[in-house]
Amino acid sequence: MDKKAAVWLAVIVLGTLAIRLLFAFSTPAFTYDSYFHLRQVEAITETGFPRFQGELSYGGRDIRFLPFFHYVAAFFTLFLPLELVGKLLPNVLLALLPAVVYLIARGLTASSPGSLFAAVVSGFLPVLFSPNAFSVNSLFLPLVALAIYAFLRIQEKKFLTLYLIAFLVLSVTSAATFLLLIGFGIYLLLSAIEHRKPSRAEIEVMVFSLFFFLWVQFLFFKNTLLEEGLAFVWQNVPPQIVQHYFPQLSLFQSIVLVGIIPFLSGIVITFKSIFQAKNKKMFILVSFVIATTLLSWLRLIRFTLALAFFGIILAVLFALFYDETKRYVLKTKLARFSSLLPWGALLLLIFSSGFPAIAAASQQDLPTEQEIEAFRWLQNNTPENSTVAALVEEGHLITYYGQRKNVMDDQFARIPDIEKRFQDLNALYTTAFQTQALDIRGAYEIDYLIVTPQAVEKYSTPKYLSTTCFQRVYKNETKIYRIRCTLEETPELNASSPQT
Amino acid sequence: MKTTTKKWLDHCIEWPQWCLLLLLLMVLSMPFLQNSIQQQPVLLGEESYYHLAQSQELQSRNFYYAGLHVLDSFVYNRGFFVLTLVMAIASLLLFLAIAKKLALQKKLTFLFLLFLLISPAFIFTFSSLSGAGLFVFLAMSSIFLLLHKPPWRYLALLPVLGASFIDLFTTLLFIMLLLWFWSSYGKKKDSFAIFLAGVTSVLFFSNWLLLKLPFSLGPFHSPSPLRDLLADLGGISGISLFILLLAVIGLLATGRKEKLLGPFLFFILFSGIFILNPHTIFYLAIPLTYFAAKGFLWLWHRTWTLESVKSISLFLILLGLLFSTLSYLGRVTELTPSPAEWETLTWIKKNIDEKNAVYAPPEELFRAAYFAQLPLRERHSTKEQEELYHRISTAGYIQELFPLLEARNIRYLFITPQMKATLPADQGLLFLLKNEHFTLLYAKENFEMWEYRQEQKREVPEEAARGTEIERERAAGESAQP
Repeated sequence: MDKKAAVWLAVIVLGTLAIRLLFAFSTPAFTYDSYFHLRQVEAITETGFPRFQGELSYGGRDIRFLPFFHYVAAFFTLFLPLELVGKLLPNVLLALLPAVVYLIARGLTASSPGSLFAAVVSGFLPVLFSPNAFSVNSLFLPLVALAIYAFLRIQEKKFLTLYLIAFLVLSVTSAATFLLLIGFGIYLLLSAIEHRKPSRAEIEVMVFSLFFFLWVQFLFFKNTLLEEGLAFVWQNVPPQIVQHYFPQLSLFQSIVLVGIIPFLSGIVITFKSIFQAKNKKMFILVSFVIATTLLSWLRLIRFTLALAFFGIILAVLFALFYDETKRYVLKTKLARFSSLLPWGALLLLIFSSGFPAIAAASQQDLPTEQEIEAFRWLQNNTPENSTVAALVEEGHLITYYGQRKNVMDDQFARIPDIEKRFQDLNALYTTAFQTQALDIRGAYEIDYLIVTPQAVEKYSTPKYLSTTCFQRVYKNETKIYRIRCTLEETPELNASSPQT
Repeated sequence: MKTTTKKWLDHCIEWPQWCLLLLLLMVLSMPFLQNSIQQQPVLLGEESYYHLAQSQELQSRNFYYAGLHVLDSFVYNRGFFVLTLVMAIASLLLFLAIAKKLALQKKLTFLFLLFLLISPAFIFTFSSLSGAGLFVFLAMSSIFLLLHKPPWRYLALLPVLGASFIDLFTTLLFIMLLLWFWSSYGKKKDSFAIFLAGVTSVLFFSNWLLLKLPFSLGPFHSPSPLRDLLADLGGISGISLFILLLAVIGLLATGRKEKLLGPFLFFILFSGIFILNPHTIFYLAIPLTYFAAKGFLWLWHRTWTLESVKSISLFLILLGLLFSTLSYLGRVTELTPSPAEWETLTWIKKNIDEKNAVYAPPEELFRAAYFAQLPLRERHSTKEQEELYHRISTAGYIQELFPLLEARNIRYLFITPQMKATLPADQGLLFLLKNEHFTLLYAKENFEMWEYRQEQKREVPEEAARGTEIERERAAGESAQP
């Protein structure tokens, strides 16, 4: 890497990090699902182990997940407070992604500017620009890019070692690593169609990767697989909201979240790679594009993750697109304007990716400070074994800030009757009848009900809350109600025929 | 200098009978020991109880169950373990003898048997009274005898006769096996194998037309193809995912170089049968395990770029297979009736005289027929039975339920934990059981026996009736109590 390119890359990485941290520290809050991971890091810090048997989530349940990311975060909490680690770590990791993308792109094209633009694209992918998210994907995505980079140079021994290490870590970080394996499978298929033979080293690492990944998943998710079978892939998401996690593939949404320029350039380069130039490295990257598209279309991976992975590959392909465009321009009458090409490309990327990324960061779904205060209030003002009902997405706030049991959160795996539970929780906010609310209260032993502005916006304030059975114990923008009544059968009615 | 592991491995490949016999004893004794410790019946799966129930109702249409009928009189529950174990050991030793006679590749034979013995499909098949297990034993016996000189080879007729009465598919399979043997290993003028194939063909038609044997036994549970194929996804039988992947590698890596037409055709045939009837998984497991052994050998003999990666990969594969086996063995106790279920069914046998009047859900059909001696009307759960179950379990009002019960003269209802888990408690059958026409006769750990009486409502004393009326009014006014 020449010095000038290194400097520019450093500027891109630091620039990405700076903008991310600006948004991250603009509010103390995290995205709703981050609180689950924060709580797990807390548990590791306290006990050395993740909280696989949770007493608070769903009132008590077993959960299984790959904990490597949480252990990494827990390590840093030895030196820094948890919430600071929560802000810094994911943003630092995702800020390193442009560096890896640069290295991949540089391996494909002789052009440094193209690779630098690829780095810019990856740093400002709208789908990844969520600076307040503390999630496993912040480690998974840079790692998978690193694994791809090492795989592309697998003939060199040090990169074989790098790949093995990266893959080992990936296997204990996220089950989405199977994306990589499906990509390998598509690559083998394309190679067979094109009568190309993959190298020995490639076949060997694929075999090793496949069996190692499967073995690790069986170790962690044995019971989940036995109970749910292949439905494990869909993580027991209630049918009512499965569309949110596994939506139908939407072209428009894909373009917006990835950026129109990378999207279009990716299509052009993919087409050329499959049907015209047959570069081996391109084959591998195109295989990942096909794998991601296929899995997303079949709704086997979450849409946001598919788009994020897709976006990274498209970012790499943008480098090739830039190179091809430059070569083309140099052959035409516009050659004298070729020095303006980088500025033009930068301007285009700012408008097509940069601004949407900033917009995505501004529109993150975060709890307000007032809401957090309300959840914090629970910890000091409610009995320890209370159960609190809130919206599904707010479930982790109850366990993290309130240290109380929740009725439901977004970790749906292995929860029986999840559809009914979701229905009941919804009914709690939508029903007009006190008896129905109390019936649900009895079924889930709910002691408190939280009505946040978000709940009001979604459902409006339940009418039955004005009755004597619901005592308002906290009032702010968020209101907390203590449920004082229970619904019981009148004893004498048991002796007669049931009402049929 | 050879390492200890390599020496041990070479010894096992050279003399596989001891290693494999020991492995077989270990894997098959585990379900037996676990079930015995938990005081549960030792036979896994519904098919076992299907055969035992058939043998209890011995008639002309199922005369071939006479042997089992006699055995059942002397042997009970744990004794059947010996029968299945002997069949498994005999099948293994016969196969090894055949492999020696036919000079099959030693490494491949060892790996194939190693993978097969630890597969959940094998464990399930030979821990239950299964047609597939019996077929394997009889097929091995037949081929073993055919490889010998007269007069021993003529005894091959006996296993042929026995195998023809399992079901029509195994009869066809036997014919194919005999023809394959004749074409591959028999001498051109050898007519005895052809004679046996002819006898089997005659039996096929007679069993089909006269005895009306089913094409294939089962399924004995609600089929789910992926789950039934892969034991790792919670299937009651099946293969490990690692075996499936190794089989794919074996097919891709060696398919073009070697003549695998025979095994490949069997694979296609068994795959088709499996899709129609997932209960035939054991047959599919055999060619898949063969290809898996091929795949493992290919990986083993290949020169890898990094030897350490090779060792780790092969070790991971073996670890994965072992993990699947141990995971399966950890849940075998779920595949037999629990002590509570067994006690409830025994209570029914002793205390209910009108066996015809007992209703049991479809999944209990054969267990109830064997342990409670309920009449076994059909060979398998029919659509009619499932529809009846659906109507009974989802009846919302007594006006729907009572006519259903009365029309079929059902006086007793057997309620299982599975019904309690899947049916709603606040409506339908489980709610209607609170009606005074139903009386709980017996309950043990959520297994319940209810009696349904058609007689009039019992008379309620006047004071209690007036009190009930007042409470109804009060309840209508306000239902919430702080």
